Amino acid sequence: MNNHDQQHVMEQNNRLDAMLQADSLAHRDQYIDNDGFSDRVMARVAALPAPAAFNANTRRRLLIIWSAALLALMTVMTAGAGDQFLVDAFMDLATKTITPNAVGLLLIVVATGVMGVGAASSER
Amino acid sequence: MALPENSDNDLIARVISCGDQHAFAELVKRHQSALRASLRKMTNGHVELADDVAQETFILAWKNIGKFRFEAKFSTWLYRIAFNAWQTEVRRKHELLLGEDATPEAEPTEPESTATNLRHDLARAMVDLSEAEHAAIQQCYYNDLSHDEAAYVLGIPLGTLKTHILRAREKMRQRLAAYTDSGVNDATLNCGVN
Repeated sequence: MNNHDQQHVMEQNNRLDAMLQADSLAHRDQYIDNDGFSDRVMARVAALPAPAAFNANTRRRLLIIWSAALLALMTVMTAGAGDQFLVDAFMDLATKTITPNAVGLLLIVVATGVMGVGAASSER
Repeated sequence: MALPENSDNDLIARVISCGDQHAFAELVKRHQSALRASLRKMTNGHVELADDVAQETFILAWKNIGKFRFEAKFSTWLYRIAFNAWQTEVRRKHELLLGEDATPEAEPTEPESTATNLRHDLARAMVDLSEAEHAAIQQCYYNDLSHDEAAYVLGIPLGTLKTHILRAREKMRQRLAAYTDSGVNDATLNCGVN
């Protein structure tokens, strides 16, 4: 395609663009009167239950996250001795000593990881 | 109850938090004209079918408003629902929409001017496009969406959308060569609009 042809196509494209812009502007400018349309929609809406604030996926993710938090809390409360649990657990792991605290911490890490992956895949 | 001072997002928040039907009714009133006009274009002038799909769109919007993320504009989100609802309808009533069964909206009976012919040819050139190309032109020009928004509405990658637009423009350019060569411009087109 030589320069003249390219210029010709470019001009045609510009004119096409102008035509489309003008036609679409006229299309957008038209107002369609409501004429009872919204009343008909709302009559159907009134028969429906209120929309859920969270969709099914969000509910599933929240359930997983809350379950993980609950599991972690229960582990801390039962396997450890209050706020010493984490310190003891890390110390035990650092010295490669298998104690209930160390096992509890490992369980929490693994469970949280599994639930995190579950939550992430429920997004897709 | 009129709520003119509230933004779309305020109204949506009220619908989500307490199922406020008045707020949703206001959203319907605000967006019904643009949505119905868009669907009339999408359905090649089937007024009743377009209104049925528009109604279904708002019902789906009510049911799924909890999924609205406030990232897109509410109107863009509605166009996406409308496009999907229309696709479902096309699949359901495919035989009805093929060819001559269409009953286009009545055109005003004005004398045949260059502008009128041009708009008819523009409409015919759009009918010649593939479904995907037609949808891309519709969203970008007639619904005035950005390429990003149009890709979101159609559920396709941005690159694919741009390809559809390029191909559609090339087909339309060839089809409308008679007009584009003779120098008919938007000013001429607007003469026939009012």
